[in-house]
Amino acid sequence: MPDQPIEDPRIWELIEACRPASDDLEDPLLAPLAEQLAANPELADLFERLRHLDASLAEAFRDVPLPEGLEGRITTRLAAVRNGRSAAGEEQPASQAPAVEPVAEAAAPGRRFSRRWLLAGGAVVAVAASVVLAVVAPGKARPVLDRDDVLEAAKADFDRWIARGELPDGGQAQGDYPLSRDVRPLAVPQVPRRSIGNFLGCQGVAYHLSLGQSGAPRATLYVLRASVPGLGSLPPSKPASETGGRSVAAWQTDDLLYVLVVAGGRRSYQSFLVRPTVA
Amino acid sequence: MADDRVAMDIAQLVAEHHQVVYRYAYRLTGSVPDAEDLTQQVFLTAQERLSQLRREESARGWLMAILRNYFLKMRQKRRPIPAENLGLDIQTVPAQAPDEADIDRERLQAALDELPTKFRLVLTMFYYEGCSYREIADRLDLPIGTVMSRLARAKGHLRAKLFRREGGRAANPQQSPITHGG
Repeated sequence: MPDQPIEDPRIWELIEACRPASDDLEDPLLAPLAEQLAANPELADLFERLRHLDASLAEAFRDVPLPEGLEGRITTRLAAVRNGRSAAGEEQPASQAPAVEPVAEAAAPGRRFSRRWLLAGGAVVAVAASVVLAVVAPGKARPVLDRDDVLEAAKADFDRWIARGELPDGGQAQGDYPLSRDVRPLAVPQVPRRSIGNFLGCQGVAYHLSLGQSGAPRATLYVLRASVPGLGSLPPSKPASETGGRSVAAWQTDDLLYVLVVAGGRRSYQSFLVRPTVA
Repeated sequence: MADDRVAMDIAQLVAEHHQVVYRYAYRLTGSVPDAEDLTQQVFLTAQERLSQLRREESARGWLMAILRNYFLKMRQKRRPIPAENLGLDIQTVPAQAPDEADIDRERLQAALDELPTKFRLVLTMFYYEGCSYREIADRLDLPIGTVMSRLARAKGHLRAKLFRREGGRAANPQQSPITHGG
């Protein structure tokens, strides 16, 4: 039987998005999948197999043995915290509780972290914090971010601005967050830019780049005061991520983290590099 | 007296939900001690913020939200497999879906542990909580496309680890009528 390719890889994602024993297929967003299933019995067979498998996996996910005495330990600790608070006569939080509302992955761990430190207070904590900062970033207290988080957050921000269909006002490159010398266009006096108050808890500037020609790919360069462990000091010749029609890469200098998001594939990405320097 | 009322309510909350919270925590952390710590933190927070819980029937979702937030804050920095190595792979679908009892629990958890946090969370919300992709997107404040992409790649990874045999194809493979074009 010859393979019958899925023309649109998105169909596969739609298949995976359907829950077993659900009416997810009635979701209007999944209508393209419903049409394909109606027209392709082999695809429908695969779909049913996957739903069966997902039902089994869901059962397996929920099958976790409980440790003995768990409930007792929880209630004992809760009582101890309540009694301790009553004895102290204060309303200090028993735990360093995060916000209960849904947290976006691009939320601000740094900001919440700072609030927690403020709540915790105290000389011991302050000393410990200074030691940690000295170890993590001698001389420069920059937030340390996860590379994948940075790439995802930049891509999501880029997509939001593309969806808006507008550009921020132009202006001189900001001294604290200069354009990278490794990215084109160089020395453009009026690059549309905007300040970023909270990018994964960091501040920075986003420069909206274009190479000027009609139909040329668009890009945004994020310049942030943060660091990512293990990241190189030059833009890679190939993007670190190529998904959803976006190419994303990051690099860093001593002071700044650069993240470049380009609409398009590898060639579009490379068109924004002065020179691809890292394989 | 008010404190007594809270104590009774939190005790009820623990009695009714500690099992589901612990199991969720275990799937996310992959460790018994970490799961218990996380579970304790969830109920400590619940105790502090019990006044936020308006309806009893919302309790489970409320506790899950607390748990997810804690997990995201405290996620391990241990390097999982790179996200770009997670591909869409139809060959990971076995020709015959196994029964739940035939799924190796240790391999399931090992496969979960390998996933980057954001993939693991989406996958656990799908399988454990039974969330739709829209609910996942809403609760994590993510674009729907991102959720679908992560879900598809994470599910492919899970199946590959659970069912793929030597040679790179799914156990009991059947020639698939579909190949992935990308």
